[in-house]
Amino acid sequence: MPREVHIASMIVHARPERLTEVSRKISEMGLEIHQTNPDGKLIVTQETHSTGALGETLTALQLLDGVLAATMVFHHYEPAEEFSEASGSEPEPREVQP
Amino acid sequence: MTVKMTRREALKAKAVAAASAAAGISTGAEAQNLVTDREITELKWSKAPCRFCGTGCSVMVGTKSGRVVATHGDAKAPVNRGLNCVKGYFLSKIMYGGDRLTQPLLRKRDGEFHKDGEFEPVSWDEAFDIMAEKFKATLTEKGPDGVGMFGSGQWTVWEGYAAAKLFKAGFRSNNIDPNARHCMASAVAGFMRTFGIDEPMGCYDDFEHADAFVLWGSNMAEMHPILWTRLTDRRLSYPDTQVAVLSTYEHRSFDLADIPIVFTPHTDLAILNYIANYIIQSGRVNEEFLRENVRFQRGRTDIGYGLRPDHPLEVASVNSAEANESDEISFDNYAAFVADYDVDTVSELSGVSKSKLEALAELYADPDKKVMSLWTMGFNQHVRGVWCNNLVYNLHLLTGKIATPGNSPFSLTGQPSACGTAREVGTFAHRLPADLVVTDPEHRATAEQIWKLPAGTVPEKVGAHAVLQNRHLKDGIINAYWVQVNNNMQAAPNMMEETLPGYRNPENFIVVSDAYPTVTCEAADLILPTAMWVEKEGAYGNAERRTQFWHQLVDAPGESRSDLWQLMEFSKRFTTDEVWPEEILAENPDYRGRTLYEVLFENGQVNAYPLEDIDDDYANDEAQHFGFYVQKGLFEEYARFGRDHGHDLAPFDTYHDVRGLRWPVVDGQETPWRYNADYDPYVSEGRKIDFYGKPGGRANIFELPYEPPAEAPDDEYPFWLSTGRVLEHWHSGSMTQRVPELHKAVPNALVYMHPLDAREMGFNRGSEIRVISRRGAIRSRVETAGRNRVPRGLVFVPWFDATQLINKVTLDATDPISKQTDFKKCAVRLEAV
Repeated sequence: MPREVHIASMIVHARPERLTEVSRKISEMGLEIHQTNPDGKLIVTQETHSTGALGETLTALQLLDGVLAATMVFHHYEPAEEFSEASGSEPEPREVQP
Repeated sequence: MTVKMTRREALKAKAVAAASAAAGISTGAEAQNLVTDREITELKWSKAPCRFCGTGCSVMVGTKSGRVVATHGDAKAPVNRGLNCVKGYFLSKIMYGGDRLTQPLLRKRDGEFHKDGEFEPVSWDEAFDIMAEKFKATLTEKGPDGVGMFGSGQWTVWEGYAAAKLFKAGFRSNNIDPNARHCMASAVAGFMRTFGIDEPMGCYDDFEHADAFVLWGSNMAEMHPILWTRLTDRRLSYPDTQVAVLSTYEHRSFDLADIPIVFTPHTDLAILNYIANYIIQSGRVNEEFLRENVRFQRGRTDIGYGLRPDHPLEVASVNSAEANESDEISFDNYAAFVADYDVDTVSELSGVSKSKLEALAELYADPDKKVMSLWTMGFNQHVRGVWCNNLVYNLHLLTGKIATPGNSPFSLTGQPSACGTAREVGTFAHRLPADLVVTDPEHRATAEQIWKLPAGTVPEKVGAHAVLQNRHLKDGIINAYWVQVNNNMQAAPNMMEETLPGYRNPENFIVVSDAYPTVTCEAADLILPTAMWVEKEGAYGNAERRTQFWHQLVDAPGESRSDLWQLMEFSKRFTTDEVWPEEILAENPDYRGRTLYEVLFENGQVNAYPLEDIDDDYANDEAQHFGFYVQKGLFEEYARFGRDHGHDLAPFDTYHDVRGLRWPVVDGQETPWRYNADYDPYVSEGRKIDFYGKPGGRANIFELPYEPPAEAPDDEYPFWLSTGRVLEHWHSGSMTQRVPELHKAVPNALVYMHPLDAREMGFNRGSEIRVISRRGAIRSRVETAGRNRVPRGLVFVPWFDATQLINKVTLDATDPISKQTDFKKCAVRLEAV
């Protein structure tokens, strides 16, 4: 079982005219795209089990053809046992009021 | 609407919300809910500047149960506005590497220190005992010239200040230098020669005002990603904006280049003079600006290459002893001089097409274009690095495109506090705080008066700079040596001929303070485990003069202690009687028999602030140990050097509340653009622009020629070698997983070369080869593809890989003025393995 859970979000800035192509490549990398805008910016998240994997992804994103810049915004990690929903240590899902 | 969310989903939504806000994309209701989510807000969030480069991004650091568990870009930070670069993901992990050093280690054999012994754990007492014994023996035998220290642009402000004070005033030795010498020294000398005050006049706000950006040997896309994001935003939002990228090979920043330029190494000198000539010839000199704000200087030429004095190139040079001198000339003299740099001559020399040279020159010449010039190591690590800095200022001064929003010659920095610590607090071998120098009797008197020390305590003799320290270690001139916060075995040039023999010289005792076992630690005799980043209270100053503070957020592991604790605690082991000469003590009997700790740190100033002044929400291990608020005392004493002298810092407590302030901070106001009457209170009444660091408020335009490099390809060594970084080195695990072995060269990083050169040599992509210079060799593998596309005749090898120490190969030629090494060019040959 993985020892850590990492959740990170990134902003990818693509050349606007290549947004579709870049989006497809990012999806193929197994990343989740949450939002895009016409300026060429994408909001992407990754959930993974090691710092190294996250670093690899960030590098790959930054070096993707059509990508001008990729920056990280948020990074959370903690031991998997504290995090695992299956283990029962996770509190019950809470009601979140909009 | 009610949404059910697991914690994982909640965290992800929080991550998306933070990213959306930073990108300026509106956030969905889903994300906005999360502000009230208890599970997420239970983390304690505090601000801290990132420790990985000189940009100075502010990061929000989330701690839980004494550990850092989350980081995100600080939305309130003017530098990074919520973003956090690829390096940022390391912040939360860097403190928790498996091989973290947690106790002092001493080389021992049969229970005693032995230079060839194995490292064994020892107590701090035993560590300081042997260290004090070695320093005292050296001071007795050799005097202050026999001890030395090598520090860093990663020192916090008060650590660098305490180190400089301990060496310059305590041990009375100016043999202290920071690794910023490898990085920023040419920029410093460039500022001092042209403007008389260190550091950029502009700021990062220039990114949103400029119409053109010119990158001189800087790969910002990979090395300064957050600033690159700001530049990219400007370029894409304002399509008339132009970007010129100059380098000796094509790299990632070329993707955005409107004017991409690959030039023959070292010919940037000629290109700069050509642009000046173009501005003059096309009648676009800003004459009013020149009349009021500029004078012209002819710099000394034929100044050598900063090699050992018996090197043939030094013997042959004429003006190496007065490299920094100059004589005043007229505009006409200067114009006649640059007239030789016509487009045909410079195109031939540099290998750049005439049309590209003209397009580049037009950016500077066009009076309607605001230009930002940006540079780092391409200029600074250059045997004429100071000249390059002077020559680029020439272009901005000739056109008056300076010190106004968007018009900005901007020297970027590589380390988090290269400016705030290494440069500003005076950790260079020739410097004192706030741009004062040891060679000026008035400056020394100022330092002695502020430090409440006897006249004559601070020595006049300029200490050994970085490269000279290694030569002095090898030659047995420096025998007791302390390295903090840097990996100089890997970073310094010509490792096999100078650095390693120096560290392993049996006469020498080498102490290395670090958090991880680097190659420098491996070469040491005593290793001291160091607390890092948010394990202590700290302050950094970034490239735009922004001073930023952070609190101690977690405890350091095991017995590791901050550099500040180490420096102050070590000072208790010495008395003035042991290290100061009798004549000073005879004239100042009150100072007899006191410890250096007492005279330097219990002087009624450094210990002036009680523990009660510390924020109740945060720990402060050093303050608790010494019994007073050490960081505040050191900062306030240091700030006395700069207040009312153009370097004003705000009161200590202010910095814990704000996202940094750009000095000079006068009456609570920071200064975004210096020398400009609209922003800078130091500008004289009635002037629009005032370069007040120089007499008459006039900056210098320098006449300086193209001179050849120290070494160039020939029949025997036919390739240029250039070194630098690549993005992957920030996160290949080198920060956390390094267990380096000095003598095994395991191929790992790559030699980037042109496919046709590779074919001619009979190499394939992936071939194992040897890169050989007149000094040493490494083994590596050929890479002919990828984003680093080198021209024919040049190979590029990254230097950040501990298993492939390219500095066995590099030449220790330095800029004769700044003493900074030229890591960017020497000659090599390549052989199949």
